[in-house]
Amino acid sequence: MRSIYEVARREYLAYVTAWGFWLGLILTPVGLLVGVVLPGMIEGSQPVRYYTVLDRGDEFSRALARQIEGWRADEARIALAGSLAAASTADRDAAMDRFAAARVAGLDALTAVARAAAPTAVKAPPRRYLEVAPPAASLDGLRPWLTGDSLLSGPDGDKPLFAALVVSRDAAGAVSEIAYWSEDVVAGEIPSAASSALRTLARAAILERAGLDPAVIERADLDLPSVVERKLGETGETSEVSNADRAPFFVASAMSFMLWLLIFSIVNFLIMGTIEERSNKIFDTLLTSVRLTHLLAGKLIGVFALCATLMGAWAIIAGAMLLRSADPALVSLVAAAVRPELLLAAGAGFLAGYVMYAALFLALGSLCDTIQEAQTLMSPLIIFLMVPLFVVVIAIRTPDSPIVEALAWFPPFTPFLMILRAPLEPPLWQMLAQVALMGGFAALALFASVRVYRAGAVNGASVSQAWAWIGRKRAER
Amino acid sequence: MADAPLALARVTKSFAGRPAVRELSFEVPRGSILGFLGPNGAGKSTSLRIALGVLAPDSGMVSLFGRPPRIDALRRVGFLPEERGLYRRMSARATIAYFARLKGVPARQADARALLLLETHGLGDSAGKPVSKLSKGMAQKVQILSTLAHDPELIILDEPFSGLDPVNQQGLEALIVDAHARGATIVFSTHVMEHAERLCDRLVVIAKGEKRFEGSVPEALALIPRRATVTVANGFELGAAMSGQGFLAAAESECEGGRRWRVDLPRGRDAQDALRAAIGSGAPVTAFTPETVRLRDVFVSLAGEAAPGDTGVPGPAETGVPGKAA
Repeated sequence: MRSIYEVARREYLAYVTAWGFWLGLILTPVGLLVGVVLPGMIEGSQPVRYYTVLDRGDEFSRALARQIEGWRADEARIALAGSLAAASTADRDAAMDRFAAARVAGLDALTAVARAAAPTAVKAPPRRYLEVAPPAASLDGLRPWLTGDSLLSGPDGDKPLFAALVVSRDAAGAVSEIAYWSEDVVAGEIPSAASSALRTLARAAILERAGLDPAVIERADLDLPSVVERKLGETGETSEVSNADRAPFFVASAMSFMLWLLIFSIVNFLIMGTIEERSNKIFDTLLTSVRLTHLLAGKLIGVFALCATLMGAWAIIAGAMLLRSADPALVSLVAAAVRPELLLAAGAGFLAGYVMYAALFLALGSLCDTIQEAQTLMSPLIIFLMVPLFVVVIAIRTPDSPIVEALAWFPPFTPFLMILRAPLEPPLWQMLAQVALMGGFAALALFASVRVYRAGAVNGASVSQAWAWIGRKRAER
Repeated sequence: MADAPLALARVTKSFAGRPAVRELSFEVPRGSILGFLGPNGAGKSTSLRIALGVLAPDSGMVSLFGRPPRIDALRRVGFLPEERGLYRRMSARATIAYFARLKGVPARQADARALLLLETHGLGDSAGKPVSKLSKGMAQKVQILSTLAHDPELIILDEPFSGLDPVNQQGLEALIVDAHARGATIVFSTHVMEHAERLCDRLVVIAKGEKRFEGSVPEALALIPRRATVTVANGFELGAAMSGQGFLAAAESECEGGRRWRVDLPRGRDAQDALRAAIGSGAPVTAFTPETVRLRDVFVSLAGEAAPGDTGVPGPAETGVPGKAA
């Protein structure tokens, strides 16, 4: 046992003292954080865009503005609901009712959020589009503002005109076409809002002809009943589905991704470390000092400790950020995600996944003399490693798919998919059987790895000779 | 065999159907320095790897301290492989201490021993340097010290002198002598006979995977017929004169002092006997040169391409040296 400890200690110290390890430790969470935060920051930093409508009347432009404000109100409702995650049901319902009433009263999204009087601050969505009076009466006249040659003064300062909508009407005054003009050919919000506004106007026109008051129609649009997601409890009671109920799925997805990241990280540690030993001819010295099985066990434990250090450091960073954020909603979500079945799946998945893949990498590394040789092996290996990631990405949306369920029994994917499916609370026998399957496959991988490693380390076998060695009956120590 | 730290009995090993070692048997007596000699590709490294259990023999037995070569027995062995290498990022001190710890030396003791060895052998200043920053000779010295750090009872060195400059070769010889003086049994393989001649008290010579000789250095030297060169003037017929006294003399060439004769020294007769016999026969001797037999000549004879019986060298049965047959 002592030799296992010594090998593990050396492996651990060899990597933990390398600057590349610390770079990876720091850059990975930074990269993930940037990946998570940056899209929101980009969206949040979008400047207000001015648009104008060239029309004989103003009913279309009002409908368009209402539509755009309606979308903003939807975002505000989601933000408000998120901020109320930690509140009591009564407080949550009351705040949401106040928000809805404010909207029915015709107040804009920002004011409605303020009226909701949520106990915690709500980050209301920023205004993205603002209608301004047309600086010219024709499309040709608008050209300098649309191209940015001239700037338009508005409530948000001087800006170019982002878009112009030119409404054509027939002899009866009905809208026959709306031409959308903009230098930006990607952003599709205003054309989409214009379509919705046209539908609203058409419906309102029909209802008006039927004798309904336009104000009543407008209020009715704002006073739509909401769809409430509810769930059945174990004892028959019902409750509203909250983010806390969804949290285990998010956490399971994150854990599954973390496992993939962990396995991807250890490729280099294990393959390169073994190549160093093979190319530097250290094997004979090692094998006269320590049993081959102990050598492999020490390596696996050493690199596992390294991974645990990585994961521990990332967990500490994440925990510190969570506490620093002092967001009770976030804390309660994380607390809600910690479920026994998820912890069992995560524990077993991490352990078995690590052993399976680590054994594979160790064996492959022992067959390579140079980094170049290893790189030729790495390409198919990386593609193989990408497959579980692709499956995980799809399985996040459809964890109950029969294909995902079947793939969960394919040992290389089992660790990832078992974690991902854990929040669905699959039957206990399934989880235990999958744990046993992973254990068996990990043992098989270890057995094959010892054979291949022996072939590579002791006999200098190459990749093409590896299969022959797995089947050998008698082999060296 | 039970007392010998290392013994091989009828060990055979083939790779892909090609025999690398055939029916190899030899013993390493306790406290000896055994030279394991053979030309390149003779099977020396394979034999040593089998002896240490790194490779399993196809047939035959290995006994290391009276037991199969397993880790508990290997703890008492220091092994320097032919293909040398170290962890490049580890410091010299950490390297020596690591291998000592793997052999069971307590951590603190291993570290202290590593530092002491480095200081004793002139590497004290480089103790903290990573191996990658050391010169090749220094790195080799670190590896040799790693082999010795746990004070092994049996030291096996595979081509230890290869790649070392003369100064370092001398240093390694001193290390071997020192370890031997402390009671260690030493086996080293080489194809450089000067080292074997200076250090070994026993030799095993193998070629093409087969043992060609096992015995002491004098026994090895005795395998080559000893000779002397006698130069006689006036066309004296030395051959006829010496044959009557039990010596075989053959004319070799004409030279300034007369004719040069090669005289074979039969077992039990030395060069002085030959000189006395020549003068006693009335030969006008103008020059007499006893030829010194070197281990190199023995090695070339034993490990040459031809089989022992074809080399002109007496086979094991003819030499009468005990224990020579494989």
